[in-house]
Amino acid sequence: MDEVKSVIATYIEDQFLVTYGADFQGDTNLFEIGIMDSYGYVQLVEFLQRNFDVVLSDDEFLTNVMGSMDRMSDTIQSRLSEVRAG
Amino acid sequence: MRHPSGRYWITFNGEIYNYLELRDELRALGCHFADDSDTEVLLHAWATWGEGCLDRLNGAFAFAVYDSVEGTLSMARDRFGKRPLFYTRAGNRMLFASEMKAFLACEQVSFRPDIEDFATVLATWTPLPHQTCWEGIEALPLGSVLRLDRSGQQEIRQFARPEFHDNFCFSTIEEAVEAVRARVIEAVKVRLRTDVPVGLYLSGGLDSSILASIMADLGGDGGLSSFSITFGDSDLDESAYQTIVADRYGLRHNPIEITHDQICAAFPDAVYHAEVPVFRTAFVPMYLLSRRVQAAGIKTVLSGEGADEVFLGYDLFRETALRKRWDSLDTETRKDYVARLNPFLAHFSNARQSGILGLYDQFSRERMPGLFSHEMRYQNGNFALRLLKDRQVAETGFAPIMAATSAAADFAGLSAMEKAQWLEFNTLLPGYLLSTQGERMGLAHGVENRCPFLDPNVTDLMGAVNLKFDDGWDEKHLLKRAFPTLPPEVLTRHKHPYRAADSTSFVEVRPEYMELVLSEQELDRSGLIDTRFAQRLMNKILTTPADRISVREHQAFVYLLSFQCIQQQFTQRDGAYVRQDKTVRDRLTVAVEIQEVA
Repeated sequence: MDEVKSVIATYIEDQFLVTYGADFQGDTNLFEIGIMDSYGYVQLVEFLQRNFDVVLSDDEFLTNVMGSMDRMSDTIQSRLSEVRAG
Repeated sequence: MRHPSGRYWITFNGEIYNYLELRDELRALGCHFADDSDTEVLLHAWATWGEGCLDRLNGAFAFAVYDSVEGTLSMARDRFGKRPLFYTRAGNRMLFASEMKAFLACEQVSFRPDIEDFATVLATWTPLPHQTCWEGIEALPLGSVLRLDRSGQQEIRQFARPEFHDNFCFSTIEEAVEAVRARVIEAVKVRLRTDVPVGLYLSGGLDSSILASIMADLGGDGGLSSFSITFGDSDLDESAYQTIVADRYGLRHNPIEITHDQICAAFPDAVYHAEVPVFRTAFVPMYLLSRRVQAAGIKTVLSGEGADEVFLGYDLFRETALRKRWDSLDTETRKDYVARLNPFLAHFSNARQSGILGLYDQFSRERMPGLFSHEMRYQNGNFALRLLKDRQVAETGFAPIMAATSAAADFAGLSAMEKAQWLEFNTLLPGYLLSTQGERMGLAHGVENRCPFLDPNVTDLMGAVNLKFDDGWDEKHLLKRAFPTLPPEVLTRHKHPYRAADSTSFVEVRPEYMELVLSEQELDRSGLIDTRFAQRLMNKILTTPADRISVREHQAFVYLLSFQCIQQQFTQRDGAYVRQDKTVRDRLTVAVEIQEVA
């Protein structure tokens, strides 16, 4: 697991009291299996943007960015690459 | 009470508000009355019209009538579930009572937790109308009548359900507003038909303020006493609004400030009166408030309960409307609506920056059949269900509520908003607001709540006034227009849900009984709790700053603590609750009625 994914997995485990591998996988839709709630969602969005120093747009949020850990990680990775290429 | 013919016997808990009108009707039919009670009117109504009398009753009631000729027992409950009625079988006997704790007086009745009922509570906050969370003990559903025949066979029939038809077809908003105003005032009047002073629960919100204005207008001897809860926590406190209303209408105002210490001290007793696991602590201050009412010598209070369900007061209704239209709206419009929802929740206030659109987007399509309106709320239920050791039961926690909606007549044909109302009328209102937070806390101190907004003449207006003249985004718009002279601060404020501090109180005070949720042995005593998850939850609750604990973590904690308390009180028949509370014991032993089944 790369570093971005690992940071997100640890946060999800602590925030939602779940265990990676047992309760959710990288591609699990966290809404559909009832892990994500509104408060946790808002906290997670804030955490991702603050921790990785990125800002996601409203339109990005409407493309299911937050649906699974893999999608969050891919979005953050691609944003970080853009910054590095920048 | 026995009917003059000797045929019918009645036992009755509640009030029939239209008993004077019914008595006139019955007199015209030849009935004679020996006293001035609504019990006698109800008995004659049953003898005259049989089950047909139920449609004529305007009241809060649970009663049983024994027909000595037919050898049948009939039991009925009012349409909104104001008054409870529980029953169980012990050998060849049917036992019934208004409170389940009455069955503690019968050694043949054992209190074993019903895991499927408990799962429903964890999933949806409350038991369904027939559920009690105890194996073998049933609740008679609201608006239903049970008939038990000589052979012991029973049959339950629903005689009333929420109706959303437009029976009035008002042509202008003024006509609709006038009907709302006239019917709410009349509903208050019939609830003041009593020789004793009637008080008011004043929250500081629109509904209780309307009641204050009507009661003040109607006058009465000695003025009107109001009773309110205040909190030191500014997020929860509404005392500023309560004072404005009390000053405006010259109320004899009785606020009591509730502290974390008091919540912790009263929690086990309040849970004992709730009799079921509970999802938040807000009922505990109501237990303490009714004690204050009792100390003031008042036995009856009016309460604004029901107005939010009838006139679409909750944000849940606007959230449902928004999610229903989500796909047809552009991003800017979505942002505007989202920002108007829940402004009191800090984490929603910066909707434009927080990516919250993505959250609503996830909930814009129905995933749980019939439950679209409540799916965001029920996400918290998935978390609480993890308290259960039995994963199979946990995974089917929502099955009973989905089965109830699919079995309900006409449910499928309701609009998204009406389905939301239907769910509120069948879950949170009867299963918590009117019971755990309402009557059960009131009657623990002999105080009866009366709810004018649940008068059938008021609720009949639902289909004719809701969303007919407005889009629903100004909460309870017609109700506000019906009472325009209320203080402007009350008319313009956003609805503030009544809450109390949840796990925060217990973490701060650490009452001795917290051992019930901290000790692995205690957690494992029922055999139903996933002790590993419970310990993980408790660790987070105890080690995380209060403002980082989520709503659903608070809820899971209160569920767990209340479940553990009632296991001790009921399943283990803790001596402190079964033997020593003489007042309660005397009252409840009298309440136990035993009917021989031939």
